Amino acid sequence: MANEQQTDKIEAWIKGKLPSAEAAAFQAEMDSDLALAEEVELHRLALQAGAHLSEQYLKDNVLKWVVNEDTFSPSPQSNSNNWKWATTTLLLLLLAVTFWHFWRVANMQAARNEENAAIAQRDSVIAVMRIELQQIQDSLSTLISLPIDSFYRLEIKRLREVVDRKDKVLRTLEAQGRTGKPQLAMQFAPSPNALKRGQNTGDDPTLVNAKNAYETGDFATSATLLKSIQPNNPRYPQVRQLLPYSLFYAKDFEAAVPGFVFLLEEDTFGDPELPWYLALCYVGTGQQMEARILLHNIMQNPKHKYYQKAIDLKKALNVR
Amino acid sequence: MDQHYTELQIIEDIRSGGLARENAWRYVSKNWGSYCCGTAIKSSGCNAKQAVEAFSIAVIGTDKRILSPDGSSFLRTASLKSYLTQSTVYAARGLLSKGFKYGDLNDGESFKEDADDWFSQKNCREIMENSLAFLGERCKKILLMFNDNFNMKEIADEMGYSNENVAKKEKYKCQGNFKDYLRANPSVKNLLKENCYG
Repeated sequence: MANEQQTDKIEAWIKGKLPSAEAAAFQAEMDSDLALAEEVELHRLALQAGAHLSEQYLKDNVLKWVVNEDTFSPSPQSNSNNWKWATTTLLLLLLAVTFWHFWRVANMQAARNEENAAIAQRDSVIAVMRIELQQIQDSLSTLISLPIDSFYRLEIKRLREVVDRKDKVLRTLEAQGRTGKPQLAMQFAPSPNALKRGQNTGDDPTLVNAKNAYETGDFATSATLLKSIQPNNPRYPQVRQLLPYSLFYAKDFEAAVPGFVFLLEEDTFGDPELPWYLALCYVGTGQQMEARILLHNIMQNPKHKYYQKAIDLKKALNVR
Repeated sequence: MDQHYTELQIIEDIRSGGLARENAWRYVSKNWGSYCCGTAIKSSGCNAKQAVEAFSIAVIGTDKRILSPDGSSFLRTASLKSYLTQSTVYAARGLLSKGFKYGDLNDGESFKEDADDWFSQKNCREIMENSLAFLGERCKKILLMFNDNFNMKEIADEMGYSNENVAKKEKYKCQGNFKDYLRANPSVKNLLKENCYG
């Protein structure tokens, strides 16, 4: 207990808490007592140790408290730096996207040009072949109209083979690179039963059967039967009237096109069905340019039977 | 701790010591620490780790100043937050500068004294740390709580002693242990005297 009291007194003196008279007496005692002076020094160091521990404790706590806040805030300049970084990053991103966009457009343009050149080349070949085919067909028609002998028969056979071969090549060429939209064509097609063409079938059984097949929805059979009727058959004009429609509803758009073109060229009454069906055929074969020209012509006349449908079809073509 | 402090309350709580002081510094660290560190990073070019170290040095210097006899008049010259910020910046510069010179106090700004004091006490801290290595953790805790003005009841509660007298006896015992160590190691005692008191 005596030691504890002595310790308290030493501590009070070190901290300057002793009354002045008592402090002076203690100083005098310390001056004469080296052991007490030594004890005072040691206690001062012990208090210093406590202060050191306290500092370390506070320092560790401060580090913990600040670090647990995770983020440093933010002086105004660092905020502004953040904005600068964000803006710079955004601008760089924008530049990259713009560059990519133009690069892509340029690439697409180049690809389109290449594709257009290929199409133009193919179309010129097709045009030449069409002329050749027409010339051969004309020769064939001339031969057929002449009195038949063995020589002509052979020549007719040869020309027909040439016509078939060239027709096949021509169709293949025309079909290349096209992406037809047969479903879209059928979606906009009028009902087949609404047509009243080729009513007068007469007594030709093939034509009667073709007409029946058409009416029952067997368009492929109808087309096959109609194609079997020769051009010299007196009912051939009716075949020409019905065959394009049979082919169209049989979804053989490629084969239907020449028939509709012929009917359109021969039409003197302005039949609104013909340009519409021909346009649908072109949609079905993927000949968009031809389809668009026909649709444009229809859309020039607001009173046209298919005026509104033409607008709708053009929109559908643009979207798809 | 969601309590909102005014600067005056912070200073009063630091001066009253114990848990109030600890809570006040916790509040300051959590609410102002990031600002002080951010400013130090911006002003001195130090990294985040150095900024937090500088802030802790600033806190210790400011704590000493507030606890000094004229600490109650601390706010007459500057706001606490501004003082801590400047002190953190100065300490950050000190941490970065290899040739940091202590005692550059021409303009008499006291936050510079605080930071300089910390840097000048480096040897003292190292020797003290080695000297305390033999002391148990419980003794260290008692000594620091006593230094921080925790009363004996708070120390008893914290350490799980039955009453204040036991806490007081433990405090004497721990101080005695340290003194005994210095008696047995006079060279350490002399080193401490030289480096801690100049």
